[in-house]
Amino acid sequence: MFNAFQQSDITSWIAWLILFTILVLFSRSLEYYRLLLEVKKFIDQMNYSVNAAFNDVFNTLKSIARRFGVDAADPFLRGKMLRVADSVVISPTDLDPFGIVEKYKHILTSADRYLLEEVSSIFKGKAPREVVENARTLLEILRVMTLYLKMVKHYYITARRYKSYMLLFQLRYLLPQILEAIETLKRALTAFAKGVPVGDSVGPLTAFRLYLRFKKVTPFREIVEDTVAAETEFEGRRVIIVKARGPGSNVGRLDDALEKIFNLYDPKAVITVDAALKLEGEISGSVAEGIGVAIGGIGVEKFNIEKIATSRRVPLYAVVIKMSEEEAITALRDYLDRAVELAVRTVERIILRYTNKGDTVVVVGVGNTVGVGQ
Amino acid sequence: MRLVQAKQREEEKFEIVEVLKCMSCGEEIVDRFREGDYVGKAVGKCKRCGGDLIVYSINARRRERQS
Repeated sequence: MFNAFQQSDITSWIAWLILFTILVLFSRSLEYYRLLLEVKKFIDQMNYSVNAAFNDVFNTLKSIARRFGVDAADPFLRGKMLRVADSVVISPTDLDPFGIVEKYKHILTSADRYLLEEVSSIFKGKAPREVVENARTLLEILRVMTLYLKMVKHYYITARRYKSYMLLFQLRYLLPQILEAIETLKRALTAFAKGVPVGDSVGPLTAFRLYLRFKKVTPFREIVEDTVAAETEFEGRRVIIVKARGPGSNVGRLDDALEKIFNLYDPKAVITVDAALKLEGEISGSVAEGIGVAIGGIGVEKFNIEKIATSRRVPLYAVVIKMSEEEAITALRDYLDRAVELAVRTVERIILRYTNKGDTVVVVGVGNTVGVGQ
Repeated sequence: MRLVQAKQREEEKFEIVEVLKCMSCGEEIVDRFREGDYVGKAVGKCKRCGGDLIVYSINARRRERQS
């Protein structure tokens, strides 16, 4: 009996040992296949979202074309959309960094014009400028969404080809953020299709509300391409208000506008107002003030504005309205609208505190002016 | 994927409205957003004082709960 018990004990130990060895040897493979399935599920969801966005944009462009009596055949429109969604903007070489800002500006301006031309050609010049600009942004959003999907697919296929567990692991834990970004972009389409202000429009909105409050000297005029400026008076100061030309989706050429203003006047202060990404834990719609140029993007306009102001030793003041990335590109929330009123008061306070009567001050409303006219 | 559904549900809770404001008396009217309207657009005259009525704001606000 003792022998039989010993025999079964040994067998069970051997069985456990074999099972343990299998688990040690193949656990990574099992985990790999589990991750593969999970990533595939995310990619399916992304594919669905990008396709839905493509159809939404297609229907929007089709209805715009119909509204302006343009016959845009389905294959033509789909072909054009696919071409734009697949288009690339190649950043300039930085082997010799001297003059790279100018090169960036040139390439970005050219890319902007290319996209606008492509969209204009859909409507054969019959749609108004703001409608074309909003349509351009829709295609731009679609391009970014497609790019995200392509990148994710690229890493997924590469991980599968080389059975790279680590690559798949990293991808798996990045995907919720990427999916969220894609979903946010998809929701942004609604705002731009309808032409309503988005969170990023708080800068131009502040500029416009300042214009309503101050004593008007001149109305808004286009001083450089896509950018308007108005001269006003506030407590004995001459205030030049600058913003992108609305109400189409447009960010303007604020650095060029400022250069022109500096050639015409002798400003004593420049105040930029913009949306800023909040940190997790910060409250959306809180307003902060500080020093510097509040402007996003890759830094071309920021560089140029800093250069102009530094050459004249003009102080740069900034007012920012905090918000999340999602709030920045979707329809303007009411609490951000209330924050604009606070930003208006902050700008007024800065003008009163840091400038004297008789001075010229430039206030720049930075951001996308979709849904905000002048 | 639950995240996507939650975000969609959250988005449905918002509606876009426009605030019309009289530039003379400051009277404000909140109305449903009409496509083609934009901030700064002149939309008529104020019923109270006859001043210029403009679109002062367009924003998304939480829908009021159905009782």
